[in-house]
Amino acid sequence: MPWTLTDTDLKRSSAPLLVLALVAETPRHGYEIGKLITERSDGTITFNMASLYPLLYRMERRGWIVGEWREHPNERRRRFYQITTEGRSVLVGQRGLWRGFVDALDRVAGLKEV
Amino acid sequence: MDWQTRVREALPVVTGDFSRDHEIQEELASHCAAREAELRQAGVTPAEAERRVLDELQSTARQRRALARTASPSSPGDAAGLTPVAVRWIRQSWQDVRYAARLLVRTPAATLAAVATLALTIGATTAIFSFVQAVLLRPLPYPDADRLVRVWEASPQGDLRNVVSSGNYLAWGERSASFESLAAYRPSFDIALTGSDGPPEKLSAAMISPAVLDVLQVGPAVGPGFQPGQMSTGQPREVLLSAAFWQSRFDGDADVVGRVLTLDGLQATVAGVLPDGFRFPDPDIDVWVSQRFASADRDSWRSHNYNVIGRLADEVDIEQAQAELTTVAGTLAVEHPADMTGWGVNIVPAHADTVRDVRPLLLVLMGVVGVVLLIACANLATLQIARASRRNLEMAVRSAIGAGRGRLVRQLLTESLMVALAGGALGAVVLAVSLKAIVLAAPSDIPFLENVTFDSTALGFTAAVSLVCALLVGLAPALLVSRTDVRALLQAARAKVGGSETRLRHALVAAQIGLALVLLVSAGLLVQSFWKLQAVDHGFDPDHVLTVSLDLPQARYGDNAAQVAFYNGLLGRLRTVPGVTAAAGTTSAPAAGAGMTFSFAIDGRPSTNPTGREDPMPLQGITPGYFETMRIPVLDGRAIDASDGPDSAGAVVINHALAMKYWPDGGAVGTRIRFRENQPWYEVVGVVGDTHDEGLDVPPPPTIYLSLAQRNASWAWMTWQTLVIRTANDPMSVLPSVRDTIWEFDSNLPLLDAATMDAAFRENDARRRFATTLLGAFALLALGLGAIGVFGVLSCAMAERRQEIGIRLALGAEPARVATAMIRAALTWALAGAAIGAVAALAVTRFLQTLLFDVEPTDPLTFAAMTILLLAVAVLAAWLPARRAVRLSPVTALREG
Repeated sequence: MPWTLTDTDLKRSSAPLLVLALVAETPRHGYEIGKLITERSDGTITFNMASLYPLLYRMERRGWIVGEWREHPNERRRRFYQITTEGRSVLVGQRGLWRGFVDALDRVAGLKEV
Repeated sequence: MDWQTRVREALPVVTGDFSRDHEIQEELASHCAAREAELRQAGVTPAEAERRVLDELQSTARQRRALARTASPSSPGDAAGLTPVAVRWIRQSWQDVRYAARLLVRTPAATLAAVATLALTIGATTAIFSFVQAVLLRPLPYPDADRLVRVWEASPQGDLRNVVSSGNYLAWGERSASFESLAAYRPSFDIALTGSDGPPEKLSAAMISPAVLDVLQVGPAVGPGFQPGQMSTGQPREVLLSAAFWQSRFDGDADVVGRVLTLDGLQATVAGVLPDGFRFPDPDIDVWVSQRFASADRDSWRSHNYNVIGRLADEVDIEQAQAELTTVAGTLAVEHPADMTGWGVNIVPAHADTVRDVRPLLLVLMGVVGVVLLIACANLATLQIARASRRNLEMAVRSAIGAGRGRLVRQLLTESLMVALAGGALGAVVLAVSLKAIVLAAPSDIPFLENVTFDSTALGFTAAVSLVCALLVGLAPALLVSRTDVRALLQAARAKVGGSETRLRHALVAAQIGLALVLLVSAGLLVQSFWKLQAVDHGFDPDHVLTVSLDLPQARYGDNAAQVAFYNGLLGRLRTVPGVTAAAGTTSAPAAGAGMTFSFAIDGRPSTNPTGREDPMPLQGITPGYFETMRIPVLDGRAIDASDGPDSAGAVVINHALAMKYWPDGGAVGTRIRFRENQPWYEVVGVVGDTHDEGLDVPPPPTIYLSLAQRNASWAWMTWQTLVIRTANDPMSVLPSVRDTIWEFDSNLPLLDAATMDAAFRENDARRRFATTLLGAFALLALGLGAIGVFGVLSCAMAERRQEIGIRLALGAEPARVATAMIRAALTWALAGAAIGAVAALAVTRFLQTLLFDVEPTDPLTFAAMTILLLAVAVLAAWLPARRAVRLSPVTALREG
């Protein structure tokens, strides 16, 4: 049976990194964030509504992202999330941390040889 | 599909905040709509798409609590008026506190040890601080106390605190404008209250000129107070009562004003009652007797009897007052060249003057507890680092899931803060107990001891010290741990500790060792002083001697013959009391201070002093048998004996110190001296051994003895005699029969200061004993803490190196050699600490100078002995964990490691 990362600790730990990386590019709404994570990870990592919004709200409360309602003609009002300065520094830290972690895993477990 | 409605049905309430819930519902509805549209685009049938989205919505609704927990209210903290940042901060702090509490409870032994260490040191620090605050820092309890000054004479011999003659005091008051008022007083003395039923009562009295109350700005609580006016002759004496004495003796009866008391046989009118808590010039005074000056006192320049206190006038500072009185002194020297040449004035702030003697002691103690506190903090920081380094994994994980560096530091600081606050709270208990103990143990001559209480200042200081401790203890590990990265995570998984942590831990141990050495050396110096002092020969035999003082009232014992007859008769009877082996009298017994001093002239040898007379020397009036009773050896000539009566030629005996000063080549016996011109000469008939009258740490003062029977008629102070009674057994056991014998002679005579001679000497070195005991206790505490530090660090290092040790042992290494290598590593740091400590001790022990006796502050023996002691303890502390480590079987070590 193949390993999946649907609801593991790893997913929980990496989730803030993923969200921060996406909203760092441009402000995005919740549905778009969830969809992009699924698309860009080729379906390895998915967030459904039930896990996505608590995550977004938590990050907003920590001050890493901030939500803002935007209206477009002929469309529903949507809440767009954009990264804050604090969020950017967390993102830098997280990228370094995970890069180091993956490198270390590679050195120990030879990930890239497979 | 109306998703807004469906969402509202599925999640009617999320946070309970209406507008925030509405936002969440709208956001989720928009998500649902987008998802449905996407599914339809992908070719899913509308009904199927709707069903799938509804499923998702239902599972989200089941996560309502997660949403509610994470969603911030639309305006968080509105009710409390807090900003969102503050709300977040409070929430996180609460998390930190709960988390820290769980951790601390999980390791109860370590937590208790840390809390106890802090409680002890914080309690002790605060107790000493309260003590110093009450004695050194709190102003005198009078209005505008900073304007109060003490005025002393500066003697030609260089004594800057010479008591003042009445001529000088009166001249200063009349000729200077620097003072709002200037007052004279005499320190407390014992006075006999007679005339009521029962035995005579001993009261504590002080003579004060009426101006004392103006200077201190204190008025009587009851009655008019002293009659105004400085000069007076023939006016009856007036007294003011203390509130306590008024209550205990007169039941607080206001009609006491105007009543007449018999004090020392003289009548005095009660002029009022002073307010409760008035403690000038000493605590526990019962009556203040008015000191009036007569016109004859204007011309008294040689009797220096008065203490002078003044209140500076507005806009006048000490320097100006000093300059003005110096000018006055110059004028007086011109007017009275024989008496006043060379005499100056010295003005000092009243509070500084009062605490002058105890200041060095208290500052030393303050420094000592500060050092102990630092050691305790270093100790706890070491343990915290050890603890934190075992938590690398936890820290790395927390940082991986998004905890910032600041957040981790905060978490660790919260932990140490909780330990410190618990320590502080317990410390307050320690404080309350140790304050009581310190006040009990403190020598009673420390001023303002009654101010030392457990109060809000003390508690505030406890809290402040706790916070500082938390910072000191928590900061180092917090900064170390916050550097944790993924590398550290991997290291932690292999139970290795970073080099910087090991170095910091060792450096902290070195610091503890160094600080402990400073305290040990200081304590060693004091203990050595104390020993040397105990070995000093008193110059007489203080064992089995009872002293009782009597003061014959002038009213009933007006002339000298009556007094001499009384004392001779009494002493003769006392010698027959069972248990008494010898008895005699003196005007000033050893340990009571030097007593009165007199200048004198030597026959045939004009003095080189401008006054034409030798410097004043202590003079004692004694009864025959005094030297024999005291066991003071007669070195040359003879002692004062019964043949030296009022009609025979004047005779004096001098002590060795005086003989050395004036007759260094011998030949003192046979020369003559006199105390006043145109009065008879006294022949020096003998030389006796020196006695340490002012305490064992003070060189014996040169002293002159003469027979009480041959005293000058004007020396009224010789009515006071201290009887020295040598006993076969416990001196206090004969006190009742001695008292009865005295009252057989005069039932109106109170016994003043009944005590044993060695108790009097113990009281004399009470301050040194106090300092030595406290410093010794703190030094032991420091030694213990230092040992715990070494032990803790080494235990930790052993635990981390178990595997390595196991391998070495398995490969055949000698256990002893492995242990030695480990001990050596620990000792390198201890040695470094000791070296730094020795240098620091060299720098600070000179502050102990005033407390040392016959020991140099840099005494090499003490330094060496204390360093060896400290290192020996360090070796022991290192040896215990090392032995445990090498005793492990290699298999166990490898498996556990």
